Parts: sequence; C-alpha cells; structure tokens
Amino acid sequence: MGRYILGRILQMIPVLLLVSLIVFGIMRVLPGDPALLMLQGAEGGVTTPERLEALRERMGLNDPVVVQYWTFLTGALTGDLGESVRFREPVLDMVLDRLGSTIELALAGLVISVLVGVPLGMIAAMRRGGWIDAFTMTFSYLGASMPVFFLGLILIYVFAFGMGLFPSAGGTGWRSLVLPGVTLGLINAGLIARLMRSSMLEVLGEDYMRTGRAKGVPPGLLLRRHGIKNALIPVVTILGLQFGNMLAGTVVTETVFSRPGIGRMIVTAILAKDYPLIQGAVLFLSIIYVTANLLVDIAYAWLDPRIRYGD
Amino acid sequence: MSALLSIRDLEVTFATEAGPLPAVQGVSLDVAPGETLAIVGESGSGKSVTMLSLLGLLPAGAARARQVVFDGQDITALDEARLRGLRGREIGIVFQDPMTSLNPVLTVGRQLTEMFELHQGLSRGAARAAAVETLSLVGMPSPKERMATYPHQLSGGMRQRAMIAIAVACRPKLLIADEPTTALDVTIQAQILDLIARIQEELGMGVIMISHDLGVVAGVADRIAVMYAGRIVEIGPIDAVFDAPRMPYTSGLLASVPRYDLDADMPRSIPGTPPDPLARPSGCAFRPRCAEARAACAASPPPALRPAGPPPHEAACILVGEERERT
Repeated sequence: MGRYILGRILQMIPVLLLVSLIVFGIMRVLPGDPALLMLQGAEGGVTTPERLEALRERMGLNDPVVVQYWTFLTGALTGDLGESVRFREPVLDMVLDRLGSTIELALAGLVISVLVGVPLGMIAAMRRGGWIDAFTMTFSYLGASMPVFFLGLILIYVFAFGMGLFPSAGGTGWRSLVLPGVTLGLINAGLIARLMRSSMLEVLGEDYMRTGRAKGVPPGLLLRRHGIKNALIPVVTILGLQFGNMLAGTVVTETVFSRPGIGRMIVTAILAKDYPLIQGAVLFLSIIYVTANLLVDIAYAWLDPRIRYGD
Repeated sequence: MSALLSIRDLEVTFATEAGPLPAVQGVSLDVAPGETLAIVGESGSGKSVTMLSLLGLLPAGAARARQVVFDGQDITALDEARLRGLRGREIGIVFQDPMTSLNPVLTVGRQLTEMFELHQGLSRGAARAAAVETLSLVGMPSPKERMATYPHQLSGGMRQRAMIAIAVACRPKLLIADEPTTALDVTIQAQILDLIARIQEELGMGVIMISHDLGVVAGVADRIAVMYAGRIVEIGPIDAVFDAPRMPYTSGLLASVPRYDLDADMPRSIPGTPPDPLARPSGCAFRPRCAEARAACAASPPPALRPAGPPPHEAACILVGEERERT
C-alpha cells in the first residue's frame, strides 16, 4: 500500500509541471501585449509609454521566454506568485486567504452529492422499475441539465427569501454554507446516483452475490458486506473527476451566493485582466484537483485489493 | 435407509418476454446419506437450475414441487428465513468458477469466518480458529497465512479449495458441486475431485455432482442421473448405466466420450442440438436426434421416472417398455 501511494505521489510531479506550463502559457498565448492589456484593464486606459515599459520590466516580459518560465516556476515553488496588478498584494496571500472557503464549499458539495447519490442509486437498483428508480432517473437528468446558477437562485428564492432559513449571501459559519453546498451537491448527486445504480445492478448479478445467498447470508448483510464495497469501486473513480466539476462549479456558486472564495476571485480577476492573480488561482485549483485525485486513488486501492497488490 | 434428499415432481418455469420457459419438467430424485449422485447433461438441460431451486435461489415463483424432503423435513413449506438457515449450514454448494464466485474485495478468511458467525454464532476469535482448521481440512498449505489473502492472489486450484472450504465449513449433510472442475486446469481437476471424495468420507456427506463431463463423474459417483431438455431421461447405478445404457441419448453421450485407454473407434457425436426450450418437440424431446425414434415417440413424452423402489436402473424411453415386453 505504501509503495502504491508513493508511486502515485511521484506521478503527480509531471502532471503539476505540465499544469505550471499551461498556467504560464495563459499570459503568452493571449493576443497583444499582456502588460498593455493589464494596464488598460486595470486603470481604464490611462497608459503612457514609460509606465508600460516599467510594467514590462517589472513583469520580466523583456527576458527570453525560457527564463521567464524558469522565474515563474522557481517563484511558484518558493511561494512567490507575483503581485496582483489590481490589488497590489502578493498573489499567494490573496489565494490562501480565500482557499479555505472554496475547499469548504467543494467538500460540502462532494459530501452532499455522495450522501444523496449513493443511497439513492442503491435503492433504485434494488427496487428496479419502482417509483424510487423512476425518481432517480428523472433526478439525474435534472441534475445533468440544470445550470448551477439556476438551482442556486431557486434555493435562494425558496429558503432564503421565502422561508428565511438560511442567509442568501456571504456570511460565515455553517449556515452560510448550506445553500451553496446543497446547490453544488444536488447538481452532482444525479450523476453519482446513476452511476451507483448501474454499478449496483451489475454487482447484484455477480456470481459472488449468488454465493453469498447460497451461504445463507441475510439480504441486508449481503448488501452491506458483499455488495456495497464492490459497487463503490467505479463510483469512487468518478468522484475525483466530480471534484473537478465541483471546483468549476464553485466559480458560479460563489458568484451567485457572494462567497469570498477563489472561484469568485477568478471571475473578478478575469474581468480586471489581473493575470498574475488568475495564474496563481488556477495553479492552486489545479493542485487541489490533482491532490483530490490522489486521495481518490488511495480510496480506490483501499476498496479494491486487486489494485493494492498491483495485479 | 431413508433418503437424505428426496425431490418429487419438480417443475421450474421462468417467465421470459417470449413466454413461460420450462427449464425443469417433472424431476424426481433421491439422494441417500453418504451417497454421490452425479447429474449429467448438456448445458441448458436443467441440471444446475434443479439444484438452485433446491436452495431457493431462483426468482420467486419459478420453482414448484410436489414435495422436497431434506433430512426428514419438507422444505417446500419453509419460509425464506428458515431456508436461509439451511443454506450453507445443512446444504453447501460449490460453484463452477471460483474466480467469480468468491468476493474479490474480501479476504479468504473473512469469507470463511462469516459462515461460523452466521450459522454457529461463534465469536470472531473462535470463528478464526475454525476457519484455519477448515482450510487445512481442504488441503490449503499454510492455512494461517492464507486467511489474509484475497482470491486473486490464489491459483485456480487453491481458489476452488477455498470455495470448498466455505461450502463444507459448517459440516453440511449435503454438498452440491456444480461443475466444480470445469474452470480448472486438467492437472488440478483430479486433485479437486479427490478432495471432495475425501471430505465426503470424513464428514459423511451426501454429494450431488453436477457435470457435463462423463469422465469426471465416472470415477466418483455411485449413481448417475442423465438430464435432457429439463427431464431426467435415465437414472441408475453408475456401472449399470455405463455398461448398459437404455436410453439412446445416454448411449450417444457415452459414445461421444474420447477413450484413450481403449483401442476403440473414434468418439461419435450426437447429431443435431438440444431443442429450444420454448419450442420443444411433442412427445420425447430427444426424438428429432434419436436414431431409434419411431412414430409412437411423438405421441406423448415417456412417463417421468419415479426413483422410489425397484428397479434401480430406469430410463424414460419407449425402448425400455418394448424390451420388457420381449422378456
């Protein structure tokens, strides 16, 4: 198990290098002079050649590209992601300031989607063709087709303005996490429910489940001990990808609910063409995503001994 | 001596989209304590379904029998919970493919200790000790260490030993072995058959050995039942059936077995294929493939075999009646 985890961690290194290259490339592939764009975006078009040249020098844009990348990479590794053009603050501080809130939201979304999706899919599979099954299918289509912001607005309308149960925007503490968490969770729960359903259906038809019945294992125990773990294997694989969905979803969710997270910061940074800030935020989201997938791989190995023992 | 298991008039019908599919039609058979009964037949002949119905493992309502008496108790009357108490404890079953029949995410030990916890209420520690003992009973080398292994870490033969260990864990009175060697290498097959025979002797179990391979059952069975298209077409002591088969299907099966030990003719195959269960021919189902078929065979199927009482060797065939008239 230890060797397996170590291997997975080593595999993260090339992935993260590639991510850094792409993030670095963001500024280089944009048409026009990033320094000019930035000045125009940040200060409403007041640009003088001197200021432009000063910014270019400060951003290192006069160096060869390879040197620029090296500077960026070593900077990123030592925690120096540059300074936000607009806020004149170190990017790292701004990102770290908002990271907690975003992770909190994505985790809440993930937990809710699993808590809703897994049991729903399981019951749908066991009561195949029943009303819970029909509900699950409809629910998953709705989840897949409904935009995050729309569900967010509906929840705000009903639970914040209508019933006044939870705050509609900002705030701290768990109450402010409920609506955005449920929004993200429900949107993704549909897919998980569907996956769990088909995976469970497959497991129910497996020979070892028949063996379990032939051994005299009662149905509930058969499902808990022999069924769920097997059925979860494909679902867990998808959870890592889902977590990426969650992070993308936080961009919209944080905007709808005015939460001070990385997602909303990226939106603001894009509007302001604040490239160092965008770079830093995207880099961090990528790291979170890669780490989440590492955790998924570990969970996968825990569930499936065939992976654990490299077979 | 009264039978350990006695099935009377078992019918199994599956509901399919194309209509009711009769998988087993009027099967009756007896198994004596300590006896090995082989059930042979082609795939789809209903041999596995007969055994699954016995354990109540078929979809609800599929199986109907006039009577199934196991160890003095009519089990057709039992509810699901009682039947569950029977499964694994009184009747063990070994399936064909140990790779898919064992749970891939649980250790061999866990799949074995479960039996003792469920049926004998043993504590974890006691169940563990019993499991190690059972593993050594089935000839698993270093059984203590094997407890922590997963099925995929074992070879095919060792996996089937683990499967047998689970089946005999609670010292059942009846062991059903459903093609126990079909998925194994030829070199391992004999070992597994010997193992089953040895455990049978040690525990005094009745064994039902299901196989499509006459070579497999020849060495181990006391009696043999031949199934064709959902019916038992011939049943009797193995030597009698092998030496003097009375039903042309049985003769055909025997002739199709390659015999390397004899300087005999090449094995002959039976022409044609088993009938579609949704459209079986009238009368005897084997009629279209039978060299001895005559007009009377189409009229009505031969009466179902009654295993109780003499003669011990019976065949569901018109020829048997004619033979009797001649003598």
